[in-house]
Amino acid sequence: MNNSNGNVEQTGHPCEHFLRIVYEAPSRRKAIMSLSESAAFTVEKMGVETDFNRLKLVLMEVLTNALLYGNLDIPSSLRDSQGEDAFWELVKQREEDEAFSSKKIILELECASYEIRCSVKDQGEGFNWREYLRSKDANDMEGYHERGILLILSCVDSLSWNEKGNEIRFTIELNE
Amino acid sequence: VKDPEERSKMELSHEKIKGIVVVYLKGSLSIATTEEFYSQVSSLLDDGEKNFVFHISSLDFIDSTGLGTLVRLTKRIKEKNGEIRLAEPQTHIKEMFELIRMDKVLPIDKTKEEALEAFE
Repeated sequence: MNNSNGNVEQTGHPCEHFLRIVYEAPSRRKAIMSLSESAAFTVEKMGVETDFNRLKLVLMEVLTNALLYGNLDIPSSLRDSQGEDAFWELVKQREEDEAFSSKKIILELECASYEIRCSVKDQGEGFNWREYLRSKDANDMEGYHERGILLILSCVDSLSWNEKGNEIRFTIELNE
Repeated sequence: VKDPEERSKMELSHEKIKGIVVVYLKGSLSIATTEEFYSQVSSLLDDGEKNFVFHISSLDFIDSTGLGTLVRLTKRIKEKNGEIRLAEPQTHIKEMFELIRMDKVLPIDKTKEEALEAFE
């Protein structure tokens, strides 16, 4: 896998916790795409019965948030204040800046007989997810960040953050 | 099962039919590939093109950054009094457009021919 290090463990018992994947990736856009593809590919190759488009999509969305707003520390308000071009220019600059790009994103994924459990952790400052959830109107879902959150919510069966807000966890129930 | 490297790539080509630029998107439109996509369509806009059909039957994956880039391009095209239509999305991609209500902003046609006819 390009630009990321993976570690796959398969345990003998087929019913409970039969696959555990731990990946670490640097803070670059291509690396998180590669990480998302490889994790979904591994799960698919192991014969887990799930919707891989859904798994890949939610992985991309949570990894994108970890990259942009976590490790690269790009303010989401920049889009409104200075526009999209300024936002992506800053992303490019910070990907080239070792102080930001050397920060790691860690993906842990476990498959049990009935669900996939996943966590994605970045090395950023975290975010105030309580305030974020309180401030969101269900009808206000048309910005970039809101579209991402909406896609995540449509893919997962449960979603939570750690206290600091730099680790997101989700589960996807497996097909019967 | 396709190799992960293969699945993360995007291929882009275009042709002009009856004055409309048909852009063929294949593979994955994600945070890793949108920059190239945006840059190539922007070049066409800078060259004076303003009416586009994005033919996406071979687009297998799109994330929120890819969707956002389509919105960004739609705004630029509309600023030039142009029009943009999507043609032949796969079912899971079409469902995503509907989920985030992008089908209200970007018209979706079943075939490339229908999309081209809509310009007439």
